[in-house]
Amino acid sequence: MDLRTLARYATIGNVVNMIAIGTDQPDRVVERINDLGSLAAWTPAQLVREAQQASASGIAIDWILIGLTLGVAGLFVNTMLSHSVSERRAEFAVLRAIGFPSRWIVSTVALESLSITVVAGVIAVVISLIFGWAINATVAAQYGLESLFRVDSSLLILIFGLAAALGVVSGVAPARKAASVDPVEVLRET
Amino acid sequence: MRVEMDHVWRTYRVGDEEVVALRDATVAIESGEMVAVIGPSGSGKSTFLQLIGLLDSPSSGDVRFDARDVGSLPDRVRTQVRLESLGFVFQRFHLLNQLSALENVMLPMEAAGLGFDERHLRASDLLDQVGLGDRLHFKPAQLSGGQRQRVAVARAVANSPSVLLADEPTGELHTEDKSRVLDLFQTLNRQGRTIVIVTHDPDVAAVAQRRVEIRDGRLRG
Repeated sequence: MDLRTLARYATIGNVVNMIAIGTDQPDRVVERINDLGSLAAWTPAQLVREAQQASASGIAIDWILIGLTLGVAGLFVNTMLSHSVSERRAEFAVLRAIGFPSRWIVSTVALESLSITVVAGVIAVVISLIFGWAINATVAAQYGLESLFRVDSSLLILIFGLAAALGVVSGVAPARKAASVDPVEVLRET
Repeated sequence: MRVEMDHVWRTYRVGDEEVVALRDATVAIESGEMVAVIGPSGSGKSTFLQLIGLLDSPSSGDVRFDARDVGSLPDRVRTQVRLESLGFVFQRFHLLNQLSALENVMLPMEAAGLGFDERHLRASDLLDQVGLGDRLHFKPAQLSGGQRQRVAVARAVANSPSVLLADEPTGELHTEDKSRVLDLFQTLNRQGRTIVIVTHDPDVAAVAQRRVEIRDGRLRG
């Protein structure tokens, strides 16, 4: 029976667009239904495979977007810190003249970078949790579901790990720039 | 600490031209001495101070502290010698504006690895000694030029260095402030510190026990 016939007999209108059939011979049933021409049929194994493919491509797109976002964020932190280091050349020159070792200056600037990205990570997680809570409270109920958003602790740990790594990577160049300030040159200028 | 320069030359390359900032400078500054280095602008005074302050390295010749050649040490070691043995006072104070007077004075002690309590106690005491005990938490912008320079002096002696180097320390001060800062240098010298002041101010040079003149990169005296 095709869907139009079923809809007419069962008076289901256009509400039903998917029918599950219990059978011991799914491959044969799929073949028969496909022969009808008005329905598309899949075996459970085919459905699982397609869902996995869709999920995998979705995850790949998510990671590409995350990578792009991290790249842009890293460039932003790097530019901001480089600008800050340029403005604070006299400060670093004085610290070098006083006797602060280069490695202290490198670690100070790297720590600044790390702090910026970790704080940004905390803010991002808080905003995500607020949005997630709002989605669960409003949208999920419309689909008759308890929740669409679930807190994933391993994902949160990954986010903080990425934020910290981003901070360290973005801070390397500005930190080296700060440590290479020549006190003689800068103190002569200022 | 005895500071010596032995046939020191310092040359720079500016484009294709070689500029000689210091020519064959030989001088010995005895421990506990207060020396004024005088000369016109561009004569090489600051280069002289940067070389004995280990901020710069000689092109040739030796810089020695208590007979130890320190001029050609690697940067890391020179930084350590600066921290332990030298204090700097700059013409424009060079305090960190975001820090209070107390925090500025605590900085060298932080570099030396002292704990917070000890840093706090010593910095408070030093600021008290320079007459700023009631300005501990003032930011540099809230202090007068003379007060800022006294904070800079307190910072320079925070790690009890044996040599204090000052580059035009009164160049931006009014007469009264200048007099207070010079009194401070004399007090520190009486306590046994070697003090080298670069200046073109005769009043400052007058308080020193010895004058060394630099003209066109050559030392005289």
